[in-house]
Parts: sequence; C-alpha cells; structure tokens
Amino acid sequence: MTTTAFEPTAAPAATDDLTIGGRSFRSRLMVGTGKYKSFDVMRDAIAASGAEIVTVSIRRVEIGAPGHVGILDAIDFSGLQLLPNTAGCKTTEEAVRVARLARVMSETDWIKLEVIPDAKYLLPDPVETLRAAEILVGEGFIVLPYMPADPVLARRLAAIGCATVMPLASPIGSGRGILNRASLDIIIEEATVPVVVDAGLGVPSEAAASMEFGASAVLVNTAIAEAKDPVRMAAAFKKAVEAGRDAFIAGRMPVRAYASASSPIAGVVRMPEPEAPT
Amino acid sequence: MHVNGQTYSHREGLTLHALLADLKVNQKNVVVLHGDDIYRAGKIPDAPLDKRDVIEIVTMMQGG
Repeated sequence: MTTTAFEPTAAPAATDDLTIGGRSFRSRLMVGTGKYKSFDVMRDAIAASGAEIVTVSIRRVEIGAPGHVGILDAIDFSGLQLLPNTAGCKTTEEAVRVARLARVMSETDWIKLEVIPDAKYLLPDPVETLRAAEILVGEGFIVLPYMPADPVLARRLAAIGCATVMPLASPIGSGRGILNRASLDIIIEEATVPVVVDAGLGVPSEAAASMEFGASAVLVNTAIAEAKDPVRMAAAFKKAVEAGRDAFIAGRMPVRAYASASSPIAGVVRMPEPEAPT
Repeated sequence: MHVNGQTYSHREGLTLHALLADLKVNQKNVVVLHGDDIYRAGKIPDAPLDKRDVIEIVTMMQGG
C-alpha cells in the first residue's frame, strides 16, 4: 500500500491586483491617517497595514500657532498613493475648491470626494456628491466618492467616470460594522468600477466579511487608530482583508436549509440489533 | 486683509513671503490661494499684497 505524505503548500501565487485609475495595487486595504495619538504610531500602523493607498485631509494652517506641524513635516509618503479627501465640505462648491487645492498640494489627481452636510451621522449628500463628482471628473480628477449605500447612486457615479464607489458600511467612526449588507450586495453585483467599503468597520472580521461578499477593497481609519494597540490592529486588518479576498476567490459553499453530513453516511458502526423475543 | 478666514493687519510693502515668514509657515509644505491663483508648495511667488486681499494657506493634515 502506498501513502502520500502530507506536505503543506502555500496557495499558488496569482496576480490579483486592485486597479484604480490605471494604477495597480497589491493591497486591498486602504487606511486613513486621522485620530492617531502620535505620528510615530501612525507611521508604524501604516507600515503594519501594508496599505498602499493612504488618505489625508486638507486644512487651513492654524494662524497664530507657531510650530504648527502638518503631516508632511512628519511622515514620508513616498511609495504610497496619497488620497486627499474633501472631508468637512458641506457643498459642491466647497468640495471642488478643496479638491483643486489638494491637487496642487499633493501633486496627485486622486481625490476622495466627501460632501457631508450632516454633522450628527456624517452621512454624505448624494445630490451634491454627484454634482461635485461630475465637475471633478470633467477636470481630470480620479474621483473616489464616499457615498451612501445606494445602488442607483453607485451606478450614476460610475457612469459619469468615477474611478471607484465607496459606500459606507455604517456611519463614519461608529464601529458599528456592516449595517447595509443588502444594498452593498446590489452595488457589488452591478459594479463596473471597484467597490470600496468605507466607514463604520470596527473589527477585522467585518473587513473580512466585506471582502468575502465581494468588495474590491475596504478603507479603515478609526478602528485602527483607536485600538489599544493600533500597530497590531493594523496587522490584523491586513490579514483579515487578505483572508476575505482569498475566500471570495475560492468561492464559498452553498447555504443549505438543512444539515449535510460531513462523514460518509454508509458504514456507520451501529449497535447490534436486539434479538427478537422467542 | 483676510488670511485663513481671520482679519490680518496689512502693512505697506507686505508681500506673500513676508506674510508667511510672519506666520512662521514652512513654504515647502503649504499651498497658497491668493484670489483665484493657487501657488504650489515651494513655488510661491513673493507677490505684493493688498489690504483687500483674501489669502488661504492650507496644508495636508491627518484624515480618513
């Protein structure tokens, strides 16, 4: 009798890059730079996340605050794709203005479009987002719009030339996880551009779940920055996103209404049948 | 004049470089919006400023 030795092997290497705006990325985890306790922790967390796309904001320099330090004074972003955002903008006009400043500041055409008039839930304005996206796409920006999980809006943003759509899982910074699963499923099913689940993810398992049900990528900030150990959490999100993506490609088993035995049904060792009384 | 939404005392002969020096701003890490003109970091001209000018000085900060 011959036996085959069990030899664990690595999964076959396959090219599974994420392509946005003509650029390819190995990592499907994007990270934000907000809320970190120090630049050192931020730098280490970004490195641990393996992220290649990193968001930043554009803000006025604080007048009367000598020594005011911008992020460029502290972090070397070479090798990363900077993704400036328009966070804080409440109207199309504000967002377009900030995007133009961001383009000059960051020397990239990439812009994470956020138009958010609602301070309580930080929900994006779909009408203003679409208006601003049309203007920015027309000006040659690579637009990644943060948006409510609305399949119709996603279709329209893709149709006008946005590079991705970025539907929220739940409100920004809430850590409530995926509250919009049904809508996200439709957006992903109909997507013609990468779908990046953005906002609300609180733990790595939610990032893995997003990737398992077909998201192209996820963007995480608060869940990493507010962890007790942000560097370790960043590494955990990295592994979760990779696991989720692998699972999506591998293809999940069918869901069944009833049990399906894993062991062979035939040949079960049973108790002897009792003798019939004579 | 107005700088980043605040009133700023204009003085005769004030230029953009002098303003940035007054504010202790590193020219290499900011973009300046002067009227309709946007000036790139490190390439900000030493333009004369008028008392009616509106200036925005922005930089990159943390954000998600």
